[in-house]
Amino acid sequence: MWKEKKNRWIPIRCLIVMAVFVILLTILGKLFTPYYIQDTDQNRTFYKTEKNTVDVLIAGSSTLLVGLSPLELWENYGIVSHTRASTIQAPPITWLNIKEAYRYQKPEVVVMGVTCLFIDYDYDKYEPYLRRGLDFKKLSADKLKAVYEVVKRSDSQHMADYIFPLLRYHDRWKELQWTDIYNLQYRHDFMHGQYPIYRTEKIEARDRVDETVKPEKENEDSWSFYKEIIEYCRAQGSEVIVVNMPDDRWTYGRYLTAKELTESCGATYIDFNTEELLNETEIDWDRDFYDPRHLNPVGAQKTTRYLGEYLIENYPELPRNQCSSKTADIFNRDLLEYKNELNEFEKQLISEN
Amino acid sequence: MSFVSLNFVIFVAVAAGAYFLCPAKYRWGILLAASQFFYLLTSPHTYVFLLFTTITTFCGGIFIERQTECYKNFVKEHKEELDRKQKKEWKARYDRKKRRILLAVLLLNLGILAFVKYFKVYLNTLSRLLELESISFEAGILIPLGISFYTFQSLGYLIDIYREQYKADRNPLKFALFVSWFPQIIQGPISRYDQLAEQLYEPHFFQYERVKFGIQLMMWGWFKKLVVADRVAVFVNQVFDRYTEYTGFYAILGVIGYTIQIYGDFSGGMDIARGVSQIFGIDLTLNFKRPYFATNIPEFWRRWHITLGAWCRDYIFYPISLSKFFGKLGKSSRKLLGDRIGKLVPVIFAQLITFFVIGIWHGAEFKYTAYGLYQAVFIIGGILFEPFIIRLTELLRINTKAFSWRLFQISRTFILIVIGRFFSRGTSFTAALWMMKHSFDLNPGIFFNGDIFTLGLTPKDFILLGFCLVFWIIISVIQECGYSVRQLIAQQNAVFRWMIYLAGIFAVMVFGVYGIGYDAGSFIYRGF
Repeated sequence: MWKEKKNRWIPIRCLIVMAVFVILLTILGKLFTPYYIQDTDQNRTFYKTEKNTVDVLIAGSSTLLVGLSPLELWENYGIVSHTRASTIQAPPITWLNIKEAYRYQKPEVVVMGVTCLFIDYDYDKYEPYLRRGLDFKKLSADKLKAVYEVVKRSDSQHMADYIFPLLRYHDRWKELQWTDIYNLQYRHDFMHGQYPIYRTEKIEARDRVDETVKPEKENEDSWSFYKEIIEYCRAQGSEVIVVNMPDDRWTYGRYLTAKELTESCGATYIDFNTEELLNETEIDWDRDFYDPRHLNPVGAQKTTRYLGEYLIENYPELPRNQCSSKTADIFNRDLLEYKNELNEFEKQLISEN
Repeated sequence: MSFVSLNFVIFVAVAAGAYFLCPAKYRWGILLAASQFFYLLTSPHTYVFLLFTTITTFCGGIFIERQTECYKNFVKEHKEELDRKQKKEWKARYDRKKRRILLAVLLLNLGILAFVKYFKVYLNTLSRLLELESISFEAGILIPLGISFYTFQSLGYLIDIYREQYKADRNPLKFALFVSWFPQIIQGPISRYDQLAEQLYEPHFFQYERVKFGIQLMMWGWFKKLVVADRVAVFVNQVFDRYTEYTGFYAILGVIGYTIQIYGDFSGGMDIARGVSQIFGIDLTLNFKRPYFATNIPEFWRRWHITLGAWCRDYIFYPISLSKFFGKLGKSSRKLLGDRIGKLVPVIFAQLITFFVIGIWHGAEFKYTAYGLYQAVFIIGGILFEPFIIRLTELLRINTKAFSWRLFQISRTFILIVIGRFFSRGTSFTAALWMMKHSFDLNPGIFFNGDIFTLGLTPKDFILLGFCLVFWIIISVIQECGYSVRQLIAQQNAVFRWMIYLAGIFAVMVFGVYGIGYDAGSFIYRGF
């Protein structure tokens, strides 16, 4: 077959062309993938963070994305943390966020949200959110496993679309602009994963605790992921705190189930919706939310402070102070930027009142 | 498994790898396994229909041939005793047996085809006749994948055995491969046994050039299907599905769009099928030869869906026009209508029946029958008026050798084809007539006020479509001039050549209409 001298070059030539093809496919995939401040920069900043410096890793859905502030933890407790949260984060993506994080960091504590514990996650409907959670992750065996879990539960998605994003976003040729090339560059996420929304909505507080309610049945598929994550983190020597952020749709039945399940795996459960914590954190339903399920930065300050106090009290190793002065400088500089934005927001709140 | 899915690419790659690595003697077995696996994967619930057609035509072929052999042996044994008349009688006796077998298998298979394809329409017609208006049979039954194609291909084989054109296949597994060869089972081409079978059964060895050409042909097919046909389909579907809202230029644009779409869709699918076959060393029959360059309707049918046209010609048109009944009809017509017209009467009837069959082959709805008869009318008109047209061109001193005349003929034929597409794409016969009538509603404003962009395509899509069509026409002209584009590319230097290949691949990947929100997987002719 390849005996002729001329033909001997054919396999080599094919390999070269295949390599060029894959390189082009990857570059175009990156160019065509839409840019999101919240997801693109969050992931890129995480990869750039100095190795083995993160004390606390935060992962979960949008409630954690907006409701806990790594910069508040840094300012008040010297704790280095990073948020790996995204909107309607599916359990396989939370699994990936945490599993992958261990390749770069050795967190003392993992703070995890379990928003999907009571949801039958629609993997077709939430495809755009799945993409945002997966597209900016580096290719790895863990990513492939997460993608496989997602695709398995979807009728319309394919593994190849995640491996080569061009296959998914090819239709964006109509929207491409010069700024898309600019978006390929690294941009530092000065919030270290948090995505604050500077807005206020008055939430009607309701009577939340009905002691007669029975535990609500969890979604077994979601719980299997959360359970695996908790067990994995504990095996890596990290403590796990499962948190439930203040939420208008919270029910006592869900609280009972979540508490029982997480504690059965050796994790700590903190629910900011209990009467006790709502009072302790002084959550104000008139001021601290931007929608019924999500805290604004003022509310996030309160929950973060509670979490910080809890961490300092219960984990004497924290803060571990493992970061270099360079990382500390970055955090201090980012803190200034954040404080400027926060001050502006607080001024706006005062003027509105 | 769709031809335009990544799974299909992987499937072909694995099948090709297995084929070339397998010992030569058993290579046809790999093709058979791949074909059966492909069908089971794509349409598992209708596999039994494929199996039925395979078994009945295989057995039918052997039984028919046995009758032929029996007759020959009988004549051999009684050579001395039989005179010419007796031989004729015995032949007629065996022929009757053969015909009975043939008819039984034909009726069985065509019966199944008619049942599964037209069942829903029959029931709905019946319910209308019985005034059971509240009952409508929307669900129907599952149409077996490629049934129209493999049924025609198998029956063609059987008729050829009956006509003693070649020997019946004695290996049921090899015959199953002939019926189910995976690149062609979904939408053809309808191959002939003597052209395809031997190619499938004999081992082919890996040839770099051939594999490369096969992949290129597949790429060209994907381009036509994904970049052009599926993009045009966006506004075509909008116009035809809501035809009462889209009149005038919308309807004209829609029907021209559909004319482009169906060509891109069908010929694209054919290119993929031929490309895949070429990788394995098998040359499938050409099914399209730039049909929109045809100068008249008969020529169009010699360039469009060539294998169906040839099938109908060999198994419907000739048997009818050369039958005893039509022979007698021709004779009596000559007495009545004169020599020229009378001689044409059997041909005209045969054409009408052939195009009626072509119409109902596409579907049971009346719009398809109308589509077939519409084509027949122009073909018959062409036959009848040919002398007058020749005379007219002479009178007007038209140079029929000039390019302008050819261009006029091509344009005229294209317009007639486009009008016919109202029937084949319209949601019904009445809808087609309504659309034709309202095509004359003048609304040129849609081209200037941006309304045209409400059909689902952006201005950038229209620009891209324009470029692609111009590119496609250029390629077609080159091919029409007798050049092979793939050969021309192959003559270029390696770097330039590979730049073209990569550009082609990425053009399909980027500009193709596929992915979430699109239904690129389905081919129009897959439904026939």
